[in-house]
Amino acid sequence: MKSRFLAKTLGLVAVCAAVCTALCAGESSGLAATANGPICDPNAKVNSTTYYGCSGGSHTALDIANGTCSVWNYRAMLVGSFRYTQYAGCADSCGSCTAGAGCCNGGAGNYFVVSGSNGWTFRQLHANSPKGTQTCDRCALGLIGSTGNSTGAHSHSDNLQYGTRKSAWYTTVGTTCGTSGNCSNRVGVPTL
Amino acid sequence: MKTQRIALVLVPLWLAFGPASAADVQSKPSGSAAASSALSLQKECSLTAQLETLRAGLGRGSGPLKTFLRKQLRERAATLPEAELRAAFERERDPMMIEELSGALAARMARHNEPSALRSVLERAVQDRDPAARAAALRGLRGSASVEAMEKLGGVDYTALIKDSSKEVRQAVVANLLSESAEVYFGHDRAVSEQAIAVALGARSGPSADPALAAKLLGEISTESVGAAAVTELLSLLDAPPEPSLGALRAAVVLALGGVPASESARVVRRLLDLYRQDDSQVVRRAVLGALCRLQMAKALPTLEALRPIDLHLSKDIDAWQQALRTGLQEWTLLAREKQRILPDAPQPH
Ligand SMILES: [Zn+2]
Repeated sequence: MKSRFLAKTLGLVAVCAAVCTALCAGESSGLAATANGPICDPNAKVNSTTYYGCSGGSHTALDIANGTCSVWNYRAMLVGSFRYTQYAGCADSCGSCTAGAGCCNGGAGNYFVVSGSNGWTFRQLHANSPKGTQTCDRCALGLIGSTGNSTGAHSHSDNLQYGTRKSAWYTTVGTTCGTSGNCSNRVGVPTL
Repeated sequence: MKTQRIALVLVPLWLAFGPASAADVQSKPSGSAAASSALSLQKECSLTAQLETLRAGLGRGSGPLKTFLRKQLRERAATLPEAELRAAFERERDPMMIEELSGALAARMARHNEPSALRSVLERAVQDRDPAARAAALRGLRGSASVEAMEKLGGVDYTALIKDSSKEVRQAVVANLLSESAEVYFGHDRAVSEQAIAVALGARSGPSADPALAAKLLGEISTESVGAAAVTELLSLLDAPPEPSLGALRAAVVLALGGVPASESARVVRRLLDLYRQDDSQVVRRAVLGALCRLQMAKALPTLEALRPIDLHLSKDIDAWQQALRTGLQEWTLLAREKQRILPDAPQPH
């Protein structure tokens, strides 16, 4: 009697575990990092999140600008040491993307990727004067610029898993249009 | 009481000015007003006072206060003159504070990407007569890009430091390499992984031999991006006659081999199949089964079946791996988790 109950219970546990494995299989976990704003200027503001300008087409990333171009350092956003792998080759730009050379690297311009675990990445796009691949903590990656598919100098940052942009990293900390993009302000908690 | 008051004074100063940098504008001097007021405030809050607060907090404070004070020093390190921080580090004799000041110099290096900040830390890790001080200096580097910094600076690296006569120093070497590989690079960095393999080779023999630490390092380090030469080194570790007391080290070598890049997998699989026949240690054979699954994924189903008659004690393990493989999971971490769910590993003796 007792052993039949035990076998039944164990069977149930096994079924639950199998269901969990199936449900969780697509969402292998990563580590939560902290991301601060990319510009050490109190004037830096978030101006696009899930939608361009917070009301336009789909974007699912943070755009942060302070109204200048090629003047301010474009800082690595993650708090702690990480490797920022550079993808560059785009001429500095402060204007809008025109088809061809201005839309370099598929629109990303000069950009940096932090490659995490289980397909997670964190990217920072559109830099001017990129300094090369670095492993560092909030160091200057280049200057705030407008390389690639960009209308006016800004920082675009996104958090992807297997190439799909996620929004939880900034929505969970309440970042929205108008939030400070200063480097002392936490704008998100990306997964890596 | 005094400690708490000082901490309360420091909190708003750090929150307001800690992470700011005066050098962020490349051509226009706007923002200099904020920078100069930060500098004048920092004079009132001297490094000496901050270090005494940290010392008292680490001795008597609560867990959260300790965490806060340590983080506070590391954040502030970015804006302190390197010479002032270095002088404080060189004066310090208490290992607990040596670790924090080493961590502050490492944080400064990371913020400015200037390895020179680590020069005095590395000198001390090699030369201090107190083994506890050497170990503390090393532990401060945890979570930084220390392997790259050592390479840029020249001179000492972890393969030399693992030869230290003090176990505490050797433990710091292994902990640093594991955390750097996992937390800074998420296992992707070739240089850190290859250095870890070289360190493990160095830890096998000689007057400071430490096979248990070598096993820990190889059992946990990522080998996903190592080159052919490092794989050859790992394979050479399996060539010695299977000494029973070194079973854990051989199993760790097998685990490391299980994670090598696909381009290396064919020769590794061949060697592991031989090893399964030659080495009758259960812990080694269990490691081989896991490594074969990792290297071959679904193709391991018949491979495991062919190994079944060699050791009937491991039939349950083979069943569990085969059941896990049949789920079709394509990611090693998920596959390994599934196998653990079906048949958990026996707890390892420590
Ligand atoms: Zn954008």
